[in-house]
Amino acid sequence: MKKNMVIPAALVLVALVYYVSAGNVFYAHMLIMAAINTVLVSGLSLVARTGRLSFGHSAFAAISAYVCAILTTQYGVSWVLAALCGLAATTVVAYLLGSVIVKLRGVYFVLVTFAFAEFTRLALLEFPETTGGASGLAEIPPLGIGGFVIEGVDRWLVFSVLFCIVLTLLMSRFFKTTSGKEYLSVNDNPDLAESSGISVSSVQLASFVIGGAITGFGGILMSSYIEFVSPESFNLHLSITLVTMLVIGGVNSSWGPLIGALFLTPLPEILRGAQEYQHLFYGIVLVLILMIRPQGLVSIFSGLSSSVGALKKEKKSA
Amino acid sequence: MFSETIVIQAIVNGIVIGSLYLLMAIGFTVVFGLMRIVNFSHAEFYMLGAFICFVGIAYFRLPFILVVLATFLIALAFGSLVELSILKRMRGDELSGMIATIGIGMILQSVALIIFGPDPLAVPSIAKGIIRIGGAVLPKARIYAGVFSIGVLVTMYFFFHHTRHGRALRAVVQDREAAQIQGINVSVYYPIGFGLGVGLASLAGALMAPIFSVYPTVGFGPMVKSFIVVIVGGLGSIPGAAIAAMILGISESLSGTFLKSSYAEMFLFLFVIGLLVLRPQGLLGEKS
Amino acid sequence: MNFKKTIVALSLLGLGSLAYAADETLDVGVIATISGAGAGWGQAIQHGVELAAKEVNEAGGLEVDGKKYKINVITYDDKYQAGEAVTAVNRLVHQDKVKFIIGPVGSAAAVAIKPVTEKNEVIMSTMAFSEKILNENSPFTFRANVTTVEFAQPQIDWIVKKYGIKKIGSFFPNDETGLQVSKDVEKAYGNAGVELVGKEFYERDRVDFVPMLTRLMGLDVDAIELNINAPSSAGLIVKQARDLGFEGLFIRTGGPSTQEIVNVAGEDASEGILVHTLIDPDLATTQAYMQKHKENYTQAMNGFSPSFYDTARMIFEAIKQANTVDDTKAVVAKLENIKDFDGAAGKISWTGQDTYGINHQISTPFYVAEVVDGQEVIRARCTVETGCQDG
Repeated sequence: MKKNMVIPAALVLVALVYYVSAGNVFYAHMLIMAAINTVLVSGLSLVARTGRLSFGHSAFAAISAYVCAILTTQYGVSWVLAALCGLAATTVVAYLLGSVIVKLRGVYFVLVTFAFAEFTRLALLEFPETTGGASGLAEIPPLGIGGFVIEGVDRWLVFSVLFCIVLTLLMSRFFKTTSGKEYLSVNDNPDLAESSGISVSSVQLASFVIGGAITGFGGILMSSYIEFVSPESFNLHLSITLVTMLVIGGVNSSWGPLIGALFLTPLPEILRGAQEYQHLFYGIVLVLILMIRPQGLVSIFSGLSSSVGALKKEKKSA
Repeated sequence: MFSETIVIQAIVNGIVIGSLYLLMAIGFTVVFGLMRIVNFSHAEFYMLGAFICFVGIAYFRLPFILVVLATFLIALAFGSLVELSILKRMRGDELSGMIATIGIGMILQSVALIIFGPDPLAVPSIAKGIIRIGGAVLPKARIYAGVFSIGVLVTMYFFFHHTRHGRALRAVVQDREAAQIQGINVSVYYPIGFGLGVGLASLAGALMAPIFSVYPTVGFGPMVKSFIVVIVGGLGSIPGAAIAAMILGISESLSGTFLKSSYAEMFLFLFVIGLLVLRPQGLLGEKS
Repeated sequence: MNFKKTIVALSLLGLGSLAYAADETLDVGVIATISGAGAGWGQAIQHGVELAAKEVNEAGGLEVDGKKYKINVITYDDKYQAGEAVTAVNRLVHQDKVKFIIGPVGSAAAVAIKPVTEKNEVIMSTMAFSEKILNENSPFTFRANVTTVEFAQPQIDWIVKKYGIKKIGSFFPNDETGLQVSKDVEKAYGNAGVELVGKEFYERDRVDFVPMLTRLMGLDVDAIELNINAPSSAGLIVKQARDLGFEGLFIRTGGPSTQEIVNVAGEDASEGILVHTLIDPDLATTQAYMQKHKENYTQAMNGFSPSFYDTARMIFEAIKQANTVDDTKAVVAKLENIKDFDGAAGKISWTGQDTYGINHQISTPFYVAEVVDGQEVIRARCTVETGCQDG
């Protein structure tokens, strides 16, 4: 228990230091975006830890965000209701898609989710009366629960940082439960898991749906914060960025998404105007991490390296 | 509007484009069959080929065939090097290998952006003018590209069927376990296989550079199309890819000429998803 | 001798520091596409505004209400994405506390950030071509350059008459902008007595135009209109059409991007394209500006640049006249009243009441040019009010 408290405590400290010392809207904005990215990546992480890599998660973020935005901007629905509808929509789509593809071999799964992401983006472009097409939807009403509105950098900072830390803790807690361990066993050794009574495809489907919903909520958060959404907000570039954050952070840890997001989100701003260098940096770090520290940056913080190293060795000989 | 000449033009154009897709698809399927990696940097190797062609013709004023040949050799060497230095550590770990190719692709694209900038650049035409067959009008440049592509494909066929290493590589690509059982040392073929695979992508990029323009993201479209070709034709099957590539190229060309469907691309992806679900092995691919 | 030198040096230093003896700083925001595709236009905005600011600063600063203000340009790259533009405008308005923003380039970005600028009474002067930008409900929004609404009909009228065009074909991206433009192009040519016989819609990332060109050429068009297609697409269309043996005319009734089109299509294929341009290199004021641009930047000057140099100068002038840097309503009132301003591209004024319901559209001279050896050569001179004449 103590070890697990170190990381969140450190991160909250870092966040406070940033905010207090800078008193600065810029840093707050960076932290908010990192927190939202953490939510997006966490959904991806859930699926990855059952052994599936999805390139379609940008589509889930898009579906939730768009349904929520369309309901609030065009039909005046309250935020809470609209968000729930958005999540419901994504859950349904994830379930339908997942149940069909979950039995596919790894590479086919990747390619289908890739195709699905592209399909969703094209679909959003093709129906401009509803989705605003390439111009997107502007003036999205902010996050409002009951009468309480979360708008402006101060409120968003507190809300998003708290939310992502709670989410991460929940995920960490989950993977220590029996169900959580079942999830992990499906990744380590599917045959063994199957023979001990765990339905691999049910587990993977469940993680796909729940993970999709989590990422979907991340999409809703993003659209409520920026108050604007367009198909380009959710293109393949986003899917690739999420995968990059996941892997660099640490694909086998609940803290991976947060570390990855925290590390990679501020980069576009620090290298402002030099977009090419940002991607160069992403690519180099990604390759280096995979070569030298495949368990991700999170291994620097906690002692996971030995156990994950063993996992990887096991995989190689399989 | 349905005159035969226009149909002939559309079909010939479709064959040229189809051969481009086929080159990309073969390269992709070789890497996948051999190493089980979805090579997300395939697009950037196409781009590499296109830029080498651009530099070779625009700056060094070398003849086209020479540049194309040089491109292939450079990409082959570079790809082998990449495999030996980076991917080697991840042999056996498909996930990491695949993500590593994402990183490699990002690096290549960023370097291209830094050196050349994002705007498209034109390669001076390799052949001006048109060839008239009957009433059909066919741009010479495209015909040349098509002829060269077919030449490359014939060479590949010869390599895969009539040389020792080619046959071994093909066996590994089609069924790795069976090849291993037959005593083929699979790991020897990794660097060359990867180099060959991306070399074909670069070759495609170089061949098409004078026809379309050259820019850092130029490879993305062809890569996505090659994914589709490989899925439809069947992962690991080169004849399957050939059939699928021609079908895709010609139907694209015909529908572009005669139909005005704006939903075409959307339906294509839907079709691919459906195919993957119902018949994952595609036309002629291995069973899953 | 040394003593004298020191005095001279010190006084020069003193004089020099006087130039920067501004009491205060006035922050001006720029949102534009600085990197990636479209960077040429974004840089036109950035460089234009920076040169205007530099000019004012070198003269001692902007004099407002007895104080001298040094103008500080804060630039954010929107990467041609509306989402990025929204992030940028929020930073400019809430963090940097800016009251004047120049840009963005794209219509989607402009439409996305306008709610923020209008709500916060921030003056915005944009390049965006969309018709949704200017209206009576957007009192703080201005447009710094002419758009197809202003220059298309005069250009088309002149070209049709001069070159005897009867049938024309065109390409449009397959989205709602493309659909809107196709209607505008059809109407404009219709008004000139020409039938738009071929309307080809293509997916944005298409690079193979041969099937569609084959179809257009089968319809025997005299000319192909390139309208507002991205320079890379336009260049490919030109190149592939010439490869197919098309001998008709190419017309571009769209934003200045001749160099990019020539880069993609090659000089030979580009010979004879008729383009819309904002630059007359023979005008003294334009030459002066081009010289200034050359001295300060290595990149080639984009055709839009003088318009943004001018819009920045007009805003500074309006601030000065209104005697305030905070009361943007007062500045707007003064800005609207500026007539016959001495712009880098000639005399400029506001127009637009009839079209948009508000006079916030700049009226500048523009020209129809022919591409010869990769360069623009002016063939007709035009204004928004009088149309185009041979020249």
